[in-house]
Amino acid sequence: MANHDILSPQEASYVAHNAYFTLKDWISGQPVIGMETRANVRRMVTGDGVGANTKSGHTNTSLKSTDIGGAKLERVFSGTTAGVSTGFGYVLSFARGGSKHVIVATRGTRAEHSKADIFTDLRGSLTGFAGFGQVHHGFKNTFDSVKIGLARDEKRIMDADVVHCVGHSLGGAVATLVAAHYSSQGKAVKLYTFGCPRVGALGAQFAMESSLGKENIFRVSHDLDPVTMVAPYPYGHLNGLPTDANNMLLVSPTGRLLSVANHDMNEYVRSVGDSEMNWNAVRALSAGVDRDNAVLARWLLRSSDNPGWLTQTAAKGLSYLMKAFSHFLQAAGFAAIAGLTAMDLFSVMLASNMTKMAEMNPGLMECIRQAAGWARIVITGAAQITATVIRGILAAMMSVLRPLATQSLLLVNAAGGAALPLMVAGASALAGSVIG
Amino acid sequence: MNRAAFEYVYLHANALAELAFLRALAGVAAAPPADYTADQLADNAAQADRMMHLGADEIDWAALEGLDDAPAPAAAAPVVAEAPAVTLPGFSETMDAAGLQIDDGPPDVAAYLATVERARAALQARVDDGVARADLAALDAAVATLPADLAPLAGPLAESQFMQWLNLHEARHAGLAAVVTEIRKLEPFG
Repeated sequence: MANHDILSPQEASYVAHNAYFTLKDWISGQPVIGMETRANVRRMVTGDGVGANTKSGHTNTSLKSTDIGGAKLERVFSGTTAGVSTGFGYVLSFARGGSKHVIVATRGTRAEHSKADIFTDLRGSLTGFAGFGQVHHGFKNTFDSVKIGLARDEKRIMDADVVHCVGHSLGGAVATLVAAHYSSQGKAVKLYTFGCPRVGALGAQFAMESSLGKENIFRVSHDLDPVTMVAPYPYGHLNGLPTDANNMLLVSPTGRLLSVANHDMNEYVRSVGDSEMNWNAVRALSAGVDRDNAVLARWLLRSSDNPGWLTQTAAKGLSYLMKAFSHFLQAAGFAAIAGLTAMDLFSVMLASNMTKMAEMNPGLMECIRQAAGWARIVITGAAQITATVIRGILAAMMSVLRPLATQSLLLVNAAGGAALPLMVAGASALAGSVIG
Repeated sequence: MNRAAFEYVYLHANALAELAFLRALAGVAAAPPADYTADQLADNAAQADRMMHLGADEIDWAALEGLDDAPAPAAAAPVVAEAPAVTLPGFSETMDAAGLQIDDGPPDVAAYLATVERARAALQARVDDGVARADLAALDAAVATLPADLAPLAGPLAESQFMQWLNLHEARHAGLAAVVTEIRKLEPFG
């Protein structure tokens, strides 16, 4: 029997995809700064759904053909940066299974982030999120602006029996904060994210998980989506462990290693948007993914989009190093090692005393010395050899991943392949305004 | 050091760096590090749990400084040579293009050296760039410390002669390590 209190994979993926139509002229494939008309948003969300996206062969994600095709479009909310108003998302309401449901959908955007501060400066990127701990400040600023925009729908949201928060990419990060906010207000909330980056750090992710309930968080990611790999430890995902039932890591459909195309929402729709899909089926797909840290390390380091960096020689070698470090950390009691990416692994090694323990192993130390020579890392002293090598390799890995993740965000879901022309820099708080 | 000698030093030093790395890691893959003693784990268990549930007031950010775009204190930053000015494929990438095959287990040194020979023509531009940018005085000084009883690194080497240098490198000969470091600084990384 269908669970009427949760969105199906198709419904959730369509809702996430449709959030982009709130940005002016996204429908035509040539988005500009501004807000789309309410009539056009309604047409794309619950009407014929025809636009540049469908004309270029992608799935028509109108909800018209789904079980919630009769949902009512409520507010289309926006945010304002430096005096410029842009569409950010929309609210839907519907009744199902005798309950009142509200959907809050948020789109991804880079309007609030300068290139320099996306996923850089680990320490400086954090800010407090009341009641939960430290989260990325860019996402928090966007959440603050969205909260203002949602204020006019506050009564409807608070009267709902179930609140569904949905988003792709940075929109998933904002949806996470929206979900945590309403769960802290006592609402029953479901969270659905696609290609979501890591939002919380240093325990905030666990606090949000606890508030929402792990069974209410549906995390869908392609295994080679670079955005889902940032930022490394101490950031972490909600439902980030391989053992989490709703951590649905899927084989990337594009077949390209660590490609920006793996982040495209159209690809997520293709992965889970079939009408026959249910969450058990998505979980079953996830079970087939090779989560071996060594595999992740190899793919992270050998990117078809960045062929100049490392070759199979180095990737193979570093995959052995990953295995060695993984074994090392497991032996030292890091039970959550399986949930760490290669970069996390290095970050944890650095931030703990594990580097000193690594130096007790002669075999591992020999590897690390040779890794230093191979990686051009000059060891100037006898102390902290391991930390120096790890830091050098981690810095190089981040220099590969960060541009890929940033590029993925720039090209997010652009129907015509063009980057968003939003050039607003900085992360100032936004004043919301609502259309419709 | 003239160009001809530099070319051999370039090829051999890069080969030593890669092969030593692969051999060391193949050794770890074949025999993972031993488990720690109960005492070592006991000392560490509490910290391991703490690291995975670290709070904002507990993390030592100094360990992660220098990993982002912000300038890092000199003491914390790793010493990595500047990226080369040219955008030519590096040694490793050229070897890959020449068909280098890396299988599980210890690398096949003979096959690796054969690949170096195949890649040699494609590496000439990189060698030219290296001659222009390398600290040749430092390189000469390092080469002068190498054992005189081995076939010169700055000339052609048979497999058995190269293996003597590889064994010496793995035994951590300081002069040879300095040569390898000077050459590896010329490679793109990251």
